[in-house]
Amino acid sequence: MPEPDDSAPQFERLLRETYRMVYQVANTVLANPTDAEEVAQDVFLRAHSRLSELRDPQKFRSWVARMSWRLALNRLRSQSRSARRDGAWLALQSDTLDPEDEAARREFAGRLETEIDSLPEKLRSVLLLRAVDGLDCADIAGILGIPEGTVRSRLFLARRQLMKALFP
Amino acid sequence: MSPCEQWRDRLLDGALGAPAEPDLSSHLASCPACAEALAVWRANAARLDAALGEFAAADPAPGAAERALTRIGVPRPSLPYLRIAAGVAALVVPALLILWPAPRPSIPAATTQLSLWRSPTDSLLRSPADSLLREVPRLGVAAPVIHLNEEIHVP
Repeated sequence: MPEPDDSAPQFERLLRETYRMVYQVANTVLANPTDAEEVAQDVFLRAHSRLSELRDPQKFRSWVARMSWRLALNRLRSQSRSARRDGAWLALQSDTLDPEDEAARREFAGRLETEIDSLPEKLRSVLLLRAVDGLDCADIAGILGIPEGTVRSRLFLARRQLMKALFP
Repeated sequence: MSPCEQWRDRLLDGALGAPAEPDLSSHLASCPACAEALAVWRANAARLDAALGEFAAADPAPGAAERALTRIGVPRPSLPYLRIAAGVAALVVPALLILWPAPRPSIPAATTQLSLWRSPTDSLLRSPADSLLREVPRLGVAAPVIHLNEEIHVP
């Protein structure tokens, strides 16, 4: 791996490829776009200064994903109990023009978000990380440092709990 | 119809994709209430997954990656190319301006016609002595005779 200054074009390309994912991972923890952007910047600042430590460039993606998760958790712990979460985990995509359908979808999405918020942290983390674009169970296992089977079982339990809450 | 209470959780697991065990399968074959409940839960599970699928993790604000690059201070690879392009443009553009033939202003047809127009009275202003003014008299040569009553021809 060349020195960071020599690999600037490569680093810029890697940053552009992974920025969205890194931001979203931070936002699953912080639920605050401003905080998530600051964490994403910190992640790439550290990654840039420690690039020589990364022996396999193929692992850059999982490396910065884990870093984002840890830095976001540290930031959350350093915040006061009245954490600055604004509930902006997820953004509902809309592709329908029917106002009634749209209203029903939004109502269901609101209930779903409330129920996601009430899930235990372990289940919520897995469910939200699964919503991050491009992360599969193996990636999530790497980020959380748990076996892939545990990710699958937590994902199943999270869906099960949501089913019981939303369709009693 | 409500499903059998002792099968309820396993029906829910089955709706979420857990493999059905033989005893559950045989029960479903003989219990319409549980079979109906399983169908309803499967539909609800599909709705839940569709709703989760419709959610997308929020995108970063526009320009966030640029701000990160600026903060890190990564030398931008695009800048040298921009400098080269600016240098080439500084040489080529003036050369083109010099070498490229400037388009001549087009003269409207009406202006041309106006410049060719002659007043019909121009000939009236000619004097019969015009030839004297154009020619230099030489010694020993008789001066031309001017006939004052000469007819003046108007073209």
